[in-house]
Amino acid sequence: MERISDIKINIAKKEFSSRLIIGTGKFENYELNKLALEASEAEIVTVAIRRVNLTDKSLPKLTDFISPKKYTFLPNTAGCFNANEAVRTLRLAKDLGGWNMVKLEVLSDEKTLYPNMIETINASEKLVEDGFKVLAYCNDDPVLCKILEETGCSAIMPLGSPIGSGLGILNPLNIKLIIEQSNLPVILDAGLGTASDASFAMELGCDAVLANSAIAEAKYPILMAESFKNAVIAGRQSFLAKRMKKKVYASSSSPLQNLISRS
Amino acid sequence: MTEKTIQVFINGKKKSFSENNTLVSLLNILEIDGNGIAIEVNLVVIPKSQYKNIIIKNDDKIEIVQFIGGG
Repeated sequence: MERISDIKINIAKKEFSSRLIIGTGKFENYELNKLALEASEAEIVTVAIRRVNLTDKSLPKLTDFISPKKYTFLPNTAGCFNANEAVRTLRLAKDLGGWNMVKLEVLSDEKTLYPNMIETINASEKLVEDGFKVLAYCNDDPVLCKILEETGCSAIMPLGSPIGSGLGILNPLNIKLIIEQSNLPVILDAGLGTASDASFAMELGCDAVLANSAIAEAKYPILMAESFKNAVIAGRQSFLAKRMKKKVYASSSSPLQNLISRS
Repeated sequence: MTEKTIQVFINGKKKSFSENNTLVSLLNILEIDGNGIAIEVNLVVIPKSQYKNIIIKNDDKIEIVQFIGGG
């Protein structure tokens, strides 16, 4: 009997067992974030870089709850609207944690949070030159994704739909085309709303998914985190199992011969 | 001799300090733990090992950052 076994995902020459990446934004508090992260069994978490509060030092710290020793931190450039801001932010991130694997995210406008692909491509070139391993948030445009890949980045992270929208994957055809042409891991980044969206992404052939709002904004985030874990595993297995062909008409599962007499 | 004061911008806010403070003493004055932060002075990231050698100057623009939750 043929048994198909999965391989670990390799991102920037590092192996990971989990194909789910979790964001650490929008959770009611860091304790809930930590519990959801544990339930998700994710190994990579995205984090943001912001100014230290000079007046209120009693505010809880992310790293007191989620340790960079236990999880791989993936610093992002959320909130950056041009290549220079993004590069500047990630140079600080590199000093903060000493890691060079980063999530590049250069936005175009606050309403859609769509990536500014020209600035993303420019920033990726600079960062790769600086020795960063760039995981790049990008549009679901196969042409631009190919250009981005050619900058030497380490993973392509196309959006399913706008960040935080929960609309799922609006253009599965494009995601499929991006996966087909890509020599890099493809990580579905934004717009997932519920576990079936994550399964769908994995069934399309994505190497991993990133979820934040879908978990943080669920009524019960810890349960949703576990649901995403299962969905990613199920979707991946389904992809590896290679689904049946779709047919227009029915095809009986039980033999139609030797039925007992209907008369 | 009267001690001169200098003005610097820390995280966008104007603050006054006496002269000859290093980044280490600046963090002490601000009561900020040097672990888990990164510092940029006038757009240049300063490695932690250099905090004790960098003396802040009038009009310096200093950014002190940390990790927070994000997607």
